Amino acid sequence: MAVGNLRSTVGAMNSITNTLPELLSPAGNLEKLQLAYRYGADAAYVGGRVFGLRKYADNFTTDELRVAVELANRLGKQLYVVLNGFAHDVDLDELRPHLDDLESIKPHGFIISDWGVAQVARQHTSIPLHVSTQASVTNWRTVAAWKAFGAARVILAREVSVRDCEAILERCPIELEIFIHGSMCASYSGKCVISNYSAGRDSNRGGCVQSCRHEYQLKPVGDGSVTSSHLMNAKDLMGVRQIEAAIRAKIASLKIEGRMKSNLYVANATAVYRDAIDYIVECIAANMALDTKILLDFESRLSAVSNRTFSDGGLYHRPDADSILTTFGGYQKSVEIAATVKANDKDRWLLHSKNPLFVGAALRNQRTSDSTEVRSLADLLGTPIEKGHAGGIVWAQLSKAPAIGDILVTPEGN
Amino acid sequence: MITTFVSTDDDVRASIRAGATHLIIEHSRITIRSFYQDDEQSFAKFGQLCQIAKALLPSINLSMAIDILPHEDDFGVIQTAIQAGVNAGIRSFRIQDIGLASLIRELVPNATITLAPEIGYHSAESLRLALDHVDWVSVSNEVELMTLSGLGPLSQRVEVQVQGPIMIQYSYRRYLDGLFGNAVSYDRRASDTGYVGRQVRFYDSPNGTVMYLYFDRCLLRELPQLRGLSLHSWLIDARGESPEYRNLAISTYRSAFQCDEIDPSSIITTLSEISEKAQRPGFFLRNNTDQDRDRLIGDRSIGAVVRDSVKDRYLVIEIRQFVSDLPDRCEIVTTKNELKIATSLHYRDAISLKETRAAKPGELLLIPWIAGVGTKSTLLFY
Repeated sequence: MAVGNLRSTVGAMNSITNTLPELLSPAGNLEKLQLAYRYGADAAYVGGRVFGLRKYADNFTTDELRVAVELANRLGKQLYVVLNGFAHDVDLDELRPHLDDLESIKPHGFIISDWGVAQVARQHTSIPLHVSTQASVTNWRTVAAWKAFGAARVILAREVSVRDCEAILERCPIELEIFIHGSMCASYSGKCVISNYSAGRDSNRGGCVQSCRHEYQLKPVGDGSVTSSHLMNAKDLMGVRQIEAAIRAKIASLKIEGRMKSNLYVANATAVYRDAIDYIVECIAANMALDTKILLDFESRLSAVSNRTFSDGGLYHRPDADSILTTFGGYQKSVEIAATVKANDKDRWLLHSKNPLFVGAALRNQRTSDSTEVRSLADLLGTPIEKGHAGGIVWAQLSKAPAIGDILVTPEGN
Repeated sequence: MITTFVSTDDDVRASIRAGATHLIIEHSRITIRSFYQDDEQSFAKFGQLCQIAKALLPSINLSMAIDILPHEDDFGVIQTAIQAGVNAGIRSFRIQDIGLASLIRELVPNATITLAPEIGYHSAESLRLALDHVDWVSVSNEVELMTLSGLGPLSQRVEVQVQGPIMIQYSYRRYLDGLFGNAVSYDRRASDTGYVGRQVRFYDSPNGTVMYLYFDRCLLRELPQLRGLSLHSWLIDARGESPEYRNLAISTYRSAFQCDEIDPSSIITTLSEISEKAQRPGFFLRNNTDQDRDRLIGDRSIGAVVRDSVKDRYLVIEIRQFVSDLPDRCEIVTTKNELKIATSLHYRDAISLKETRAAKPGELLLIPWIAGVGTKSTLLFY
């Protein structure tokens, strides 16, 4: 059932679903933004050139932000710009003219964690303010403080349970957003400066070197044996099982983490959560119990793409020992992205490859599940080649035509 | 004021004897960094420690730390603790979460509140805003001198940590309990296998895990700058350190606060020996972390190299701006932040291979091959 139809049908059937949560996806660049919308996101969040906390994502130039907002408006979607670093004075000096540009572009929200940035944004623009998870908001009183400041939405700390979200909304009605999927800081987000001191890069200005993913040798104060552990290596969040509770709690937005992640990740996670939300809404509307097999299938699809294994983070209860992968032996995945389809010219397709491509390679279209084979490859000047480099742009002839924006994957075992 | 944290009667006595004029009393149920785990939950400790402190120094300033990030279930306990503090005569409260200010003002209308965010509030703008809502701010260790100077008279409502361990992470997760699981709290030294020799410290308690840096913050060589700020309070953090450290650090800064002459070198040496950690100013003088590449690129980015698809023939550029007249001459900043000049450039549409002078975001163009320019290098307007 199309989402729009589902919403109106369900809305009439059950008042709880009048407040369907928005599905909010990450977009590290324009290509990923198009994928996020194409695969079912209601909204996407992107980093601007200034101060977006993911220095090594591509981030958006001012012109790209303009294109992004136009795209969102054309599709009836939302586009939020992330400004969630902790600003120093020099950053605010740079931010002010950028905000003037953003005011003219009119994204649908700013994601901000720092009071100074929030103040400057409020003075320079009329863009709605969403409080970032970096602000570590854990309770209704802090939500109320931000609401009094003028925040339209608060993205709670990942340590806040869905049950607590309900309690917060009872005391302080406001749009709440929670993370539903993706990598997690081991610490309260924003309460970490390891990179600042260990690598001279600012964890809270986009330079995090992910020291929490490293292995540490531990020894007691005084005598005692040494233990080695990835003691801070948080498993990834997967919240399929919490969607029903989140919908019932009237949480406004369910967010997927990952502006640094691959095209495949963005497309896959967005598609699965789109399906999951729609399925669960349908069940709620029909007063039907959720089918565990269907939920398992959603989880299986999410597990296929590179991950550190999963936990439900703090969505159900305080994150415990099971939320840490102390013996990290590599990422889990059963599919690998091969390429994204960028353009079409007669019988050939322009592919942006993520991994090496070969003539004869058997691929699968992630969207349609169709199998396809690479029949020929050529460089951009049309010269035939046998192999395309990882990260390269090549022309390919394929046995089954994809659509522009589709993602081709290498299935397990190939 | 010379401020320090106390958890026990020994801490109170030692701190006052050494010259502290302001004690922040901690109870482990409501503070994240106490190294002393309280087993009583009535908060009677506040009354006991206040009494001892007042007997030793009637003019002593006393505060209560409530620096957990409260979840909904915590408010009942916090209210009980505040009431116990009020009964003990405390009217000054120290919080990490700005949301607690409203609760304290409801319960204690004449309370004074210090916001101690641990991390964050790095700009003068954010500090000014915070000071609109609370009485004092204890700034995080990443705030630099220039920002503090820029506050002007407001710096008289600011506290700076002048000495002690630097907290570099706070997690709600119990890292060590998950690994060992047989005690109330855990204290471990650790080194990242990628940075061997830099020994950090993890302290895990029921409130979560706090991670400390391999060196201490020490501003004994920056006393002229410190004095110039006319701060409300100098904070000496001796939590988790030895009594010798507490005594030496507090007495030294008390003397320095009174502008007595001190010899920083010998004291720094002694503090290093006692704590087995280097003593450094950290980011107090300057904080220039991670600012180079963005400053270099600014708004001049035309596009980024997607992939050097064919060596010696062309580079593929993904365009990032609307450009009506693509330049013949560009600067290119590589991922190693090296600058190169490219001249006699011409551009071809990647699909039609036709020459073009205009482009828009997302389009792919070919330019001639340039040696040493790899993926993610950025073309800039010259």
